[in-house]
Amino acid sequence: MFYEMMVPRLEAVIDHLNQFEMKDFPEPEQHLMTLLLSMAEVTFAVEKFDADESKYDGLPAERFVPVHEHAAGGLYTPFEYK
Amino acid sequence: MATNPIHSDLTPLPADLGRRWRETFPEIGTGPVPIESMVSRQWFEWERDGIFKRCWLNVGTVDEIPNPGDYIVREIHAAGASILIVRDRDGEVRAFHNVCRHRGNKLVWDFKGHRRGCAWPCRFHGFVYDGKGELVFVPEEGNFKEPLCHKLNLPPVALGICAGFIFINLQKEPDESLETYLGPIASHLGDYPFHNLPQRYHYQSFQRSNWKLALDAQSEVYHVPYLHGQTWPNLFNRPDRPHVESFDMQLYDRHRYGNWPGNPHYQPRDVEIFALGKYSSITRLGQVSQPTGPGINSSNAPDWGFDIVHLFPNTNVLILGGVWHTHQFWPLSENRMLWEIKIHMPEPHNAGERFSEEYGRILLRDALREDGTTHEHTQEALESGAIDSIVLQDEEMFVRHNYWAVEQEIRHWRDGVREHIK
Repeated sequence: MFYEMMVPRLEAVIDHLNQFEMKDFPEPEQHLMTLLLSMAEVTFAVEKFDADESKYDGLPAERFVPVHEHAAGGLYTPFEYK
Repeated sequence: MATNPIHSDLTPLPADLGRRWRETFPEIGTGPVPIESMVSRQWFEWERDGIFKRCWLNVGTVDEIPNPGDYIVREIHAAGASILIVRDRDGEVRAFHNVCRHRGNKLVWDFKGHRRGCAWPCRFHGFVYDGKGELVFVPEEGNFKEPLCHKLNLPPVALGICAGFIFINLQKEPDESLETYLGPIASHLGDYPFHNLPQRYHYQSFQRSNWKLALDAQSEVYHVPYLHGQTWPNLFNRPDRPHVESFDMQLYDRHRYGNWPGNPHYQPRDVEIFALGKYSSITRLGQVSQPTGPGINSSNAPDWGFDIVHLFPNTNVLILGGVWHTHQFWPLSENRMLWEIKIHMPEPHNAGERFSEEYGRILLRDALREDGTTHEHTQEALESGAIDSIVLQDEEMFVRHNYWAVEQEIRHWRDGVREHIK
């Protein structure tokens, strides 16, 4: 799986990418960077929860909203909460 | 003081562990805490009128609006107010009620942005206000019986800044200055390089709980080995202790400060070792880092983990080595709230640091989501009426102080009296 494929290569991947300016990645390096960042999410799930979603009982992801990704920069109050 | 027999780098435990805080702060009480203030509409109304409409409220940090023309909008739901905070062309930060003086439309509809030329136009009829809140342009102004420009200005809101933290006060004339309001807690905001760590991430979550329950969950570390047993195993609790006991707690009348250990012997796993170790210049969650002044890591412990600075009523500043975040708990009603988290980290300079930052973000996000579940489960259970009080141990002194401080503030507003911590 992805995690097992990436782990032995992780150090080489980071060392390779560290030679580039992040804002000037050539296209292949940009793809590699995306794979590297995916590893942050995947690692958390694999190393902490054996990749078993049923073991996690936190709030559903859609209820913990990353408003830094929203153009408006915040949530409007849902009508039901008023 | 004797050194720890197992690990000489760990700060020795105090002899009075388990009773030291209740003996240090007897004014706060020791008995069960009634649940009424967590479930009742009456308490929400007191908190709204006696606290959120009267106290200085943190609404952000100056790094959110670095340039002239930048603005943020904060909805103070409990007070029914929308506040526009702008940086004017002279560099000053000012706050106004976010309401057009024409027919009362909300002037700015999003929550952050930039207005070229420091001009804020109303979407409804094109009235334009400047960074001093003055009305500077009205379409067809001659059709109004009287000229309006420079007369119908945005209603100003009292604003103050301490260590880069922006505060507003909804009283027309605040009954105390920000400096008086903050008092000694301000000394805990002066010794950390907040400004070197810009805001990188911002989360919001509407929660079906009283705001104080969510604040409580961010006010003690007793729960960490249990609720976060898988997300944060051993990140803070040291190898000789199953729990995380504080180094220091300082309770002020309203605010509070605490100092906790990290675990210098934490063993990250396979990939985590890259994120938290080799490539990390930034993410040292729970790991030891150098304290930076007397206001932070007050115990001067070498195995420092983190500090919490609580700014009454609803802001926690959580400070770790290389990352800090604010938690804010905005009441909407007695059992509804908006939980807001802003995470500050240094700008990453290369792929390794970016990976470390991403891992740190996820580590924090998924632990906080675990906290979120408890807020709602607790609210539901309390509203069932099955129990009428909660009990607290010595290390949960911040939770006890939370209810004490809220009650004192309401008493002060209602009856003009207040007890003090000696």
